[in-house]
Amino acid sequence: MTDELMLAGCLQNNATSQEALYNRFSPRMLGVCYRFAKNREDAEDMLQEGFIKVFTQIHQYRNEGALEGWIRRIMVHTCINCLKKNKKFAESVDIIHAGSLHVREDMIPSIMQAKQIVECIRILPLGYRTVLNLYAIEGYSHKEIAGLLDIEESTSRSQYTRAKAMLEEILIRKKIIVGTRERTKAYATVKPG
Amino acid sequence: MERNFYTDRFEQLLKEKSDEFRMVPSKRVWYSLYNDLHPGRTWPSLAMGMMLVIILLLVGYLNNYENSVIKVNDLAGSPESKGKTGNNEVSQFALLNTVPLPGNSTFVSIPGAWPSITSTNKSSLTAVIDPLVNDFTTGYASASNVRKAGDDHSIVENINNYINSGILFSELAMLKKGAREKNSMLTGLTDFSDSKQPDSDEPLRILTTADPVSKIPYTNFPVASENNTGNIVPRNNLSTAATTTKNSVSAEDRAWMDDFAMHNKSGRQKWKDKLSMEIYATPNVGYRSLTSNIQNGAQSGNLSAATGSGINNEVRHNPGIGMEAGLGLSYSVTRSILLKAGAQLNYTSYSINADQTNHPILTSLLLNGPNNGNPFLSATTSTYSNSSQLQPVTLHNTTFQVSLPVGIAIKLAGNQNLGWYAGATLQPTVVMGGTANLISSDYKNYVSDASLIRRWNMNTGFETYVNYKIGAYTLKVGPQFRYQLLSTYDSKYTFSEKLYNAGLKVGLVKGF
Repeated sequence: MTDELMLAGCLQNNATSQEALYNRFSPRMLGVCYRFAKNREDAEDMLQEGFIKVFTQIHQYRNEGALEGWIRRIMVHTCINCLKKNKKFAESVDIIHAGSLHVREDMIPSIMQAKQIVECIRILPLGYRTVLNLYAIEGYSHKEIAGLLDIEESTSRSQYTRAKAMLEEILIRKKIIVGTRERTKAYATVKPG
Repeated sequence: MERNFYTDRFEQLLKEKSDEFRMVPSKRVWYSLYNDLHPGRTWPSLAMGMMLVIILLLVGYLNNYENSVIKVNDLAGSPESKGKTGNNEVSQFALLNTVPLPGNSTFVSIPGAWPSITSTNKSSLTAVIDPLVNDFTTGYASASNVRKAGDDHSIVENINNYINSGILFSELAMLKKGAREKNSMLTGLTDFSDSKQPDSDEPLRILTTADPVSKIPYTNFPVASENNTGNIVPRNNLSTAATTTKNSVSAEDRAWMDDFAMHNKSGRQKWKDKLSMEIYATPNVGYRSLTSNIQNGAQSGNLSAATGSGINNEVRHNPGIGMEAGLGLSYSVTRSILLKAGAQLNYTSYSINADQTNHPILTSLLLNGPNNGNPFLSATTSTYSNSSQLQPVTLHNTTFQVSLPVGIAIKLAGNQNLGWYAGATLQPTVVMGGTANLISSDYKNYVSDASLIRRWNMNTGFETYVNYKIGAYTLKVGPQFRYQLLSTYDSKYTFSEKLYNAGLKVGLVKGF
């Protein structure tokens, strides 16, 4: 089924077209939701809610950009809304020994698996994870993130810096990347936001 | 600068790898999504599901229904079973029945002293075919011999072909274990029991018309039409076919089932998400409808007020203020359908304009007889008059009720934070008490007698409301109409009074 046919069918609330669109994008979108969610079940709930929005608001899609990008944006917003519903982002996060790391290109093995990376991201505390997902992976600016999460822009920046440091630490500990660290200082009980 | 470059490279790789990551959602996501997007189509699938369950139960019942199975052993030697012939019957004494099959083969039917199958009992045959399928797939050379491994349709086709061919059931039954021992009385088939069972390596072949009946080994009984071209089918294929039938769950389905089982270990969270509790109150305005409740009108000719046709013109009743308060639980079946249950208290009231009399007045109530329903006058006294205007007084007919409403609500429109619902409930009710001022038989007095209030009643409630989410709570506001299905009073009272009220329901909902 071509994209045009699929979109036309979805606009007419045609179940076959909706299923085709769902089948095409759901694996990748579930991957997006999974990075934000606590577990797979929550991710699937987010996915379901997101696709309901996609199908009910598909008339707003104007063919100006990639359909996947449009769907992805809806998914991200849905994930954020779901998280905001259940949890405050300005939570305290303790970071012990999260040093300043230098990650060089040769430290990153070429066979680094996507699943390993995603699982490491999911280890991060909720606030860190969300900011890292939005900034580094989804490409939102700190200003946009601040608006989305109802936090200060500076908070978003600091959360991101710390999230990245923590992720690097995790990747090194799990031997996914090789690290030569230069600890400048140890953080103790950092309270972002 | 260098660090920024490396960091950017790290971020880039992070993004690339994260974008590569994909997961296959479980099927329940699409099913839920479909039901949300096409709520109207949920019901046909439910109906189809129910129909399927009913059919399965029916088939199960028929399979276990002994009378539907032709008892081969009982009928084999019974004299009644012999000699029956008819237009649609296959003669039991026919020496040989042949049904042409594609190719050179012939379906050989050997009717003995066993019962014949008529067109009328073919349908019952379908009920007994299933157990025989087991025999087919576990070593008895029949359908399995000629069907391809993994092709389940061939069994069904074989059975259909068999039924349509009108061949004796006895020949199929003969394939069952133990049948041979009991067939010794059937002289024409004795050779079957003595037939040498072929070795596992011995190829099976399809019979042709050239084969003498007495040489037909029971393991070579061909049923299916396909492959009946005289081709040789190795017996070893049997075990493969049987194994394939048992392991018919595909790897994909098994993977999905495993995945679903793993991610649905605990249903607790789901229940919690779908359940919500609400507390509500409904101030309302209540009134009543009064009609005659004379059970045997023919006997009331000499009673002036018996018909009750003018009762509403004779009394001076006014609506009163009532109240409802309760607790409820809602379970979200889908995003737009809620099942509700709870407990609530109701206070109903309406007022009566009457006059106080300074002394008791002898009057009567018209009641239905306890035995034959003939109305009779029950003498009593009253201190309230319906006619004079000397000392006006307002009486209140009230009830205190405890109800257990059970119902459903459907989301008509809205989004996550704001929704418009419509619902209905059925409310079994216990009337805990109240006051009853009953009009006398001559409409001139009011008699206070709460003992005539019916203890058990049934109400219905209809409501529409708007839900608005405020943080963790949801506020619901909307009009409600409640109607009492049974009379407030016992059936012996000759007037039927049904209460109704309309109010504004305000509730607070909290999820678990």
